[in-house]
Amino acid sequence: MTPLGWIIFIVSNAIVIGLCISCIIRIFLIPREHMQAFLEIDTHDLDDNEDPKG
Amino acid sequence: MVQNQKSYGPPRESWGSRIGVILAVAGSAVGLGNFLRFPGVAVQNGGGAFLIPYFISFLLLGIPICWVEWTIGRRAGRLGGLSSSPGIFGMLGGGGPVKYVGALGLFIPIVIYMYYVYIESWCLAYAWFSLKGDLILGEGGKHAAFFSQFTSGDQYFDALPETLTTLLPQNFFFFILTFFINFFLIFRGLSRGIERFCKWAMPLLIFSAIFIVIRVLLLGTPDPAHPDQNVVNGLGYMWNPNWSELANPNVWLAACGQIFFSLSVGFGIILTYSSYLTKKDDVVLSGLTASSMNEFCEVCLGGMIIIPAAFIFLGVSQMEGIAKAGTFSIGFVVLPQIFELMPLGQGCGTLFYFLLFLAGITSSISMLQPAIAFIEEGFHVRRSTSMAILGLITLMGTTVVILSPGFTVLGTLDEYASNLGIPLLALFEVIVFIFVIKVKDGVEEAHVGADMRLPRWFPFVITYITPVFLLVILGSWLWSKIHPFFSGGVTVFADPIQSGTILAMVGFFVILVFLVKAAWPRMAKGMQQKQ
Repeated sequence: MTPLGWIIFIVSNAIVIGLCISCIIRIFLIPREHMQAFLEIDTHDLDDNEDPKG
Repeated sequence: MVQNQKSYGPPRESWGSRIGVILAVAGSAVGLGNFLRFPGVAVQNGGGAFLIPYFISFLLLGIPICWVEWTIGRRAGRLGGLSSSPGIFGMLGGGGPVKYVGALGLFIPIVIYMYYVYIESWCLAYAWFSLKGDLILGEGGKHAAFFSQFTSGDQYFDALPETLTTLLPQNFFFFILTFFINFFLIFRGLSRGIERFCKWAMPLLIFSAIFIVIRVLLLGTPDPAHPDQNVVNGLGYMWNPNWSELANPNVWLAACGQIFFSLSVGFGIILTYSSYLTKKDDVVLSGLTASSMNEFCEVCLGGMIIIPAAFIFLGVSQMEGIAKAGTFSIGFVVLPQIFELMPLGQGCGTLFYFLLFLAGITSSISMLQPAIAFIEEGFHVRRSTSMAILGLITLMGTTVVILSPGFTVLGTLDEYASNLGIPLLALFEVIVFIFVIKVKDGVEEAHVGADMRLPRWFPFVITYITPVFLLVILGSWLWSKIHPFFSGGVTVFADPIQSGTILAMVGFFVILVFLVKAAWPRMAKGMQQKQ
């Protein structure tokens, strides 16, 4: 592999891995209230109320 | 199933967690193209130099359209409670003719699913064959013959007694199995089916790919008689830049195309997925994260498996032919040869084809969701009914793909859905974002609940650069189709199978347009109640 090949290989992988890791870290660092809980059971407690997602 | 109950129409689904929706979108984007198509395209278009137009296309085309889709989808979902492309476009366009553009968002994923699920079943079959040792065939072109025999639908008629007892039942068995796995996951619903599956499938896929990359990088120089066939030179064949290629416009178009198809933008899938988000959910960082995961799988993993391994075991003399061989040949003819020569190759082959199967299924289940959403919100039927309708349609289409000789039907579906349908839908999405939502309002909409702000260059790029990019891609493809007729020697309807496939696609699209017209009153009523 030529020196330029190495440079492109390292820079390209560094850009992509850096972007990916920085995004994932930010995702996990955000406050808990921004996350939705995974509802295992539909309790139907909103059936008679207005849809809260509007 | 996580659902929000409504008094009109079927209950509306929603995502269970943020990481779930990101993995689902990333799973939709990561597919066979990341591992099979990207390396071949890169090598043919300048090697390392190809990464320059590739990353520019990612910044100017892929990411902006991705953000547009996430923003449009969530806006239509939270304001109108609609999740299908016709519903989303209809809601944003005030019920006008724009809703018919949404038929493209049904047409593209259904048509692609019809052949994609078949290719996906090959991956499952090859994982099984590799595990059993059936792919250890020796030299002399036996791998090509095996693949041809395995996939040739015309053998149903030519050699029925023999094939019934050997290859074809396996071919059909793996297709049916894959088809039902897809529909089983869809039947489980958005959160319990797609999301839960992607939550374990995506990490498993990535770890499997990392394992195989490490295996390839540790190969060193397996054959002392050929010291030049080593891992460093293999990486060099993939990554050494050929700068002269950057002067070739086709290289830039290839980079645009690769980014476009790789990120799954313009399919209508992200529109549907993001419509299930709430006002509090972020779309900017989530969209960027899903896209960057796809790039990781493509550049960091896909770029380090096939080409270096092929170089090490087959040598530089065969590399040019391999790079031009096409995705199927690389994946199902060349790779089995490489795994046969590789130490621990049987296990690596099984793992690689299983990861391809996972990459395929996380994409194919996403292709079904837009149509399921349309049938349910447009005709108010239960999940089982909508699945039965869609299952019948796609089963009929895939059966034609399987039974047709060669890959003519498959290739025609792929060419028109990918090269015409996807850029066209993406162009319409950008037009809606610019002229219907307005860029300023669209940016504000994206910032609602966002964990990061859109870059300052986004409004300029989405208004002036991205549409031009899309028009150039569409124009160059149309020119490549039209030009041969002017230069002579090409007859319209020369290939009856290809022509029949094109006519069938046109007919299917027209039917979808009429279905959108029939379904709109119910969707509008549901939307009014939501508002």
